[in-house]
Amino acid sequence: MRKKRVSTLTIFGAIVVGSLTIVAIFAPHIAPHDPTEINITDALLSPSSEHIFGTDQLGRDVFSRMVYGARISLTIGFVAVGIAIFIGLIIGSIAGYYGGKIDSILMRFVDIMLCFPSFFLILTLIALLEPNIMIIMIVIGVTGWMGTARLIRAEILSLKEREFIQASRVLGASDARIIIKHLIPNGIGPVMVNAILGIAAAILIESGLSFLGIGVQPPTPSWGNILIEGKATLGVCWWLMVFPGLAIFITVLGYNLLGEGLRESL
Amino acid sequence: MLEIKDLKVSYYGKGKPTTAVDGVCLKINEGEVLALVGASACGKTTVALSVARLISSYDGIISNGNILFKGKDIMQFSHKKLRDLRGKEISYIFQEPASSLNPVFTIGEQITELLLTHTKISKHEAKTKAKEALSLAQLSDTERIFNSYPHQLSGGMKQRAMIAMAIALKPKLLIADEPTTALDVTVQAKIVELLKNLKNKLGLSILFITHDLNLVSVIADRVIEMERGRIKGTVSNPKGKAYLKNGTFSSLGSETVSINQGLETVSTNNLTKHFAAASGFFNREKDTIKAVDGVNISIKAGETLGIVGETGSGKTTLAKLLAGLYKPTAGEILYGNKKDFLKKDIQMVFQNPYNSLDPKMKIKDTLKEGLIIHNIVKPSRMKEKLNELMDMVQLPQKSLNKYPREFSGGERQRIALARALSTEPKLIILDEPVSSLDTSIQDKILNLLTNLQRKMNLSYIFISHDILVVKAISNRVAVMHQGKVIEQGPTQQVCDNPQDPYTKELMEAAVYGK
Amino acid sequence: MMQYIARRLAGIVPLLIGISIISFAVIHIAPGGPVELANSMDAKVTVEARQRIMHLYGLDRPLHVQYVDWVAHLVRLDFGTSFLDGRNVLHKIAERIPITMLINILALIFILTIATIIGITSAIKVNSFYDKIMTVFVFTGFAIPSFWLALLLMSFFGIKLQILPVLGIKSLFFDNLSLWGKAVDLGKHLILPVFVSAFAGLAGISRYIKTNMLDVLHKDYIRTARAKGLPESKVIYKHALKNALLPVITILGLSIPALIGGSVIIETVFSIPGMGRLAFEAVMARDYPVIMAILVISALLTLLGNLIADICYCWADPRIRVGGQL
Repeated sequence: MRKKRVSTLTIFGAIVVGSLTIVAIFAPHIAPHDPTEINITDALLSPSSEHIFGTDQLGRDVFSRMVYGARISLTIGFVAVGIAIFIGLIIGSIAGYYGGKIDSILMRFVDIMLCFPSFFLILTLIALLEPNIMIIMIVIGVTGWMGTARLIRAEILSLKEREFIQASRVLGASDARIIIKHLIPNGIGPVMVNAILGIAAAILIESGLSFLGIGVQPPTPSWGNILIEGKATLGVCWWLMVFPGLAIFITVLGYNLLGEGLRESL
Repeated sequence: MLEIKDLKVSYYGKGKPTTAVDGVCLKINEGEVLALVGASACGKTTVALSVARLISSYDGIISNGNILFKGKDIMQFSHKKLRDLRGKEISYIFQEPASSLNPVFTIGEQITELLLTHTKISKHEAKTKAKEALSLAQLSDTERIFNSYPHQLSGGMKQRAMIAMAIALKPKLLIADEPTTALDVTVQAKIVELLKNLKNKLGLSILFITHDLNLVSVIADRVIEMERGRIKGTVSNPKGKAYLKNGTFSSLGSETVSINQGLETVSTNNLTKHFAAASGFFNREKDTIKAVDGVNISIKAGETLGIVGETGSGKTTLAKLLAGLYKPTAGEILYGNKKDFLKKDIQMVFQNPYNSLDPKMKIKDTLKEGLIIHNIVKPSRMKEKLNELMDMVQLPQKSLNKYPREFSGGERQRIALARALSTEPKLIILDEPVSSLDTSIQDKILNLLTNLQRKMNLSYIFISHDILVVKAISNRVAVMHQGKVIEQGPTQQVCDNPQDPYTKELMEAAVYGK
Repeated sequence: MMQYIARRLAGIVPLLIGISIISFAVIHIAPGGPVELANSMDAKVTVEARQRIMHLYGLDRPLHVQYVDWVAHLVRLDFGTSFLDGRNVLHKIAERIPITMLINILALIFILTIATIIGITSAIKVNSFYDKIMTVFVFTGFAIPSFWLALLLMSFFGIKLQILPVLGIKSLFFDNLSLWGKAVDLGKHLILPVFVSAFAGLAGISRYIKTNMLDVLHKDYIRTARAKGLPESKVIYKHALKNALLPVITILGLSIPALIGGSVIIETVFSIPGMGRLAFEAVMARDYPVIMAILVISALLTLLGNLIADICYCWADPRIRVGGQL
């Protein structure tokens, strides 16, 4: 009956996630400048008290762009993962609960999808459709449900054989009752962990896409597309490279730590 | 040979250190077998592992004491001297031979490794000596076993292989930690015989650790009991004692349970269940496993039918068929004279108390499930009924608001029993309900079961591999082997006067030592 | 074991079919079809001209007919010609594959060696300061965006310290170098890409090895090994290691799609003429034969990689290689 101590790293993760969510929600109140305001005369200024993260090639304030970028990245992360979990839960539970041929077919489908390098697949789909935020969210979601499906299926398979499920059957419980009252509450844990880790992964994917120019399109700010200028001015304007990258890094780290910490306490 | 003085061992896991062994003294003379018995977690395994100072690998520290082996204090030995001792002068065999052997090396490799580590002989000689050790352990076909991997051997053979490895260098002291507990009853007897045999041949001293007193009386010269980290005392006459009860011994099974003349509630007619074997990597044909093969049994109201058999005999499959969890491949189950039954009339208690309650539900919700599904009581009377159920199984009513993790194994079985009783059943199937529990708790649960049976005229089907328990509680007994019921009848008759040769073997093994 | 291989190969067929279907579907998901995209920028192309092009490429036929035709060509290893420059697609890919493979294989080797060392030492010294440092390192590996790491390293080693080249795979004067010089030059160009490619995978695999190793160290057969009087080094490096590394084989197989996918970013950042960059260029230019071909080929490589990993695992684990009970 020992209580598991929450590690400091997990708390750090929670703080990061929490702060970023606040920044994202209150972006307009936190950003000192208009992120899309162009000011050629102030282009490529290094960090100062006026522009704490400096300015970019069009004189826009990097800090403000990053604050709004947080909003974009987090939104994409949440929605994409939401879609992925939704699809994954449905496919995985059906496969796990009913087994047999349905299971074989669905899992074959999962196997096929897993053969494609997901980043390339996403890239192709977005380029062929259109790189706007909605498409990005849907594509990331639709290519990322396989992990959840396998997870929930594995949970259900192992839970099905547990004696308390059998006891419920002997008591006379219906399939629906067993799924809703027993299988889901017991199986949802790892799925939640997966979701949190999934948000981190989605943010990485989105920033990668934006960096390649096929993600969030300027003037809409995204940490990834600010890095495009970072590359172009490599060695000269360090602030265009260091800050956005650091932001992505810390965000992803935070979500990972939180997710892993949650997994430990399950 | 071995003398332990004032041994104190603590474990330093996460959190505060716990003292597992507190001031233990014992002595084993040359060629003597000392049995160390006690309930689980009393510290006997810790003592065993401490002898060769293996305990440090498990977060354990010997904080005090002397361990004198052949007069010298091992506590003073360097690591190198200690390693010389292990395997050569002091050897171990453990409880689970399946996990105690490295699955990726052959038996031969593991034994020759031992020989080559401690002696300067050639590989060829080591191979010969290894095979000698295997035949000393009464394994025939040593060549094939030498080249086999552990997963290719049966449980009994694996344990013999471990024993071969342990005696290969003719050690002076063998420490056997529950060597037979994980084995089938018939095999247990043979292993103990082997150890006795080896003791005589090699002049071994043995520290034999177990919680099974019957086995002990066959082989031990002396028996010492431990409790909560301390030596409780010598056991003078282990023979004839059946169970540990609150530190003293009781003997169940002394009263004869008579045959019930009541009506038949449930009977089966050629009940059969086949499974398609999962085709292995090499098996193209689909084998069918005949888990239950043409079984005819019956049970009357208020009666207990015991079903015994070893692992794989089909008893659990039979239980699940009766409970409605499986559909029969052939044959039928009759209730009274009808073919249908109400789910509420037949309930089940499962073997593993740690798996049979939903960990995310409070006890009251677990118990409510049956009541709600079958509308047993009106919602207004729900609380009353729940309290009633708790009283029936002798648990405090405030347990209702707790979660399963807050209870011990024995308590969880009571809760499982309460759940089974919630639908007011006529028959309860009990699948090894006490096998995972300490013998002191087993007693209590069995008494509870008999009381409830008398009060409510319940029928029980009691499945177990422990013949003595089944004998104590059943009116009639059926013996299963490979899916068939090979003998059934009144308890006294089947157990004391078996007709079938397999039954005879089973019964002899069960009372081995009495 | 041969039977197992045969069964696995047979099981691949439905996967291949599925891969081809999905690859085909992905391309045709774009509204208006591939020709629209290729020509959508060019207002001078009239409707009739478009229709003629579509007919030329057989794109006005019903979808399933196109699919069958495409598959028929696939099995003859005919991937068609590129929309971009008219060259044979298979040739275009074939000339780019070697460098991508080289980087990925080097990365895998790097991952394996370093991850094994980190994983095992962390397990042995679990909960120590060393272990905590390694944990931080591992989490960093998970979280760092590869393109950012690339930029950081490029700016530090390439620009600040000037000791490593940052772009391409050969220097301007490559052809004038001796054989050894060429090898060194290639090596210098590959160090950063290989490192960045390996870094994320390193984190995952070393963590996996550590978990496995910890698991194994608590098993009963390790207790037996100690009870036999074996020196601790033998206990760890002989008895524990083999059991702990066994599942790693499968995980390596599973990392292949990630490596291939990662190549897109790495090759683009480092300007390396590999398959990943070809893929990116093809996507940007809507060169659909090339896109489809790369989708199919990369999926195939993944399948192959997994198959090989599975077979290696079967061979390595005696519980599978050698049959059931005696």
